[in-house]
Amino acid sequence: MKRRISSIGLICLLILPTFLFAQNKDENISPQRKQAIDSLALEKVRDLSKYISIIGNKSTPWSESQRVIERAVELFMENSEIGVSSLSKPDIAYFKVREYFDRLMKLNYDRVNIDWYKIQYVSDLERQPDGTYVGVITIYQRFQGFDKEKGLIYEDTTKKDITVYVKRKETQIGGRLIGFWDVLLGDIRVKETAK
Amino acid sequence: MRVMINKIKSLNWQHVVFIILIAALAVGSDSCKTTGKMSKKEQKAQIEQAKKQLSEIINGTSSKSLEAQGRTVNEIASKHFKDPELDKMIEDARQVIKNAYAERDKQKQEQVDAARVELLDMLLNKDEKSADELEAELAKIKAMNLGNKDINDLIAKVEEKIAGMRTKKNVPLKNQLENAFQGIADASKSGNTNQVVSLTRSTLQLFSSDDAPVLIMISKEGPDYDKPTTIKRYLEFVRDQKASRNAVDTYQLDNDGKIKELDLIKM
Repeated sequence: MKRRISSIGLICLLILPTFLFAQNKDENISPQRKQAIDSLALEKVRDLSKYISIIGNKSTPWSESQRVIERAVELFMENSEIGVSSLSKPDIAYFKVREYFDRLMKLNYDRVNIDWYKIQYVSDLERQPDGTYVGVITIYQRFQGFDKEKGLIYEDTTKKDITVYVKRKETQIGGRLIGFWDVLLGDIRVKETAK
Repeated sequence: MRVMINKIKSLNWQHVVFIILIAALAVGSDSCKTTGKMSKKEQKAQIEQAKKQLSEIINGTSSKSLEAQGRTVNEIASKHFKDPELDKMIEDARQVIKNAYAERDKQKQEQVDAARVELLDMLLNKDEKSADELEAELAKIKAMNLGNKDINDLIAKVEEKIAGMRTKKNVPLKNQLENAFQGIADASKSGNTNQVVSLTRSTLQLFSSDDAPVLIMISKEGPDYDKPTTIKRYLEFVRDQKASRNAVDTYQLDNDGKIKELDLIKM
């Protein structure tokens, strides 16, 4: 009996380092690679801000807006939601991504300006047990709505947090196995709204 | 006068006519000798001459072309000298000519194969040679007069490429692409939709299809890439973002010299 227990213990001792090594090997991303992934995720958020400007711009042709909406939707995980606030309402409304963009396109202003700035990490990308990196990026959004005759009729500044998910995937391109980082945005939650 | 007449009367005319006939036959047979069968002496001379010609062909010392050698052998054979040694030489000569044709065809095929490789290299132009350099290389291949359809098609494509290079003032493909990307970004920023459309269209023509894959390397370690896209979508992205953030790293061309795969790297 004692001999059996010690044998099992020995086997476990032999297997454990292998298991740990496998985990560590997966986590073993150099600082340079991590920085590249961090930059990539930040870039996707900046890309989204450009898409939002195009979609909200009343002079963008309808077909162009539709194309850009498709590109913007592809940045998000399925079922993600985007928060919308207003100075005139205390509640924050959350819409599914596509619905948010459709509403953005149809805002009742003659002209709209939407600018995102101070785009930065509030929570660095950290590896989860399943290999996904998760972080939070904050943005400040300045929204201005104009009337043709009255000029600026609405303006607010909103702070929003965006959860980002980054996972390494592989695909075949022309016979080559390519490893790429798939960045997907999660919910965009409103943190503050001010004039 | 009476004496002469008597002498004429005394002649035996039958004998005279006979003599005239014999003389006529003798003259006639001499004429036949110049236009009829050759003499044995002449035949022998011709056989010797034929053997000499065939010997040159068999030994490979004939200065005539293969086609002319073939005609010579056929001419000799058509005379049917019925000389066993000559007949054997005719057969040997024919075999030599046949082998020579086969060797010539083999060499020509090797030239065609080598020319094909060179022409494909010119279309790829990985060494980024100038239009003048490509033209000089092309001239050498054209001078071979290979008369092969595939080669002629490739020559036409290289000529088209060279013409295109001259039109674009000899700008390497990498620079062309990067200039196009920046051009689209600038045009989009300034609101020049027509310029964006025009540049996008001309850039897409450099590619094998609108769906040609585009990879963007974010880190050489790994190496790590952004999510793969296509050239059409990438150009739309540059337009939407109004910025060109990536440099051309490498590309792969298809047999028509079009880009079938593009690798970019973050600047």
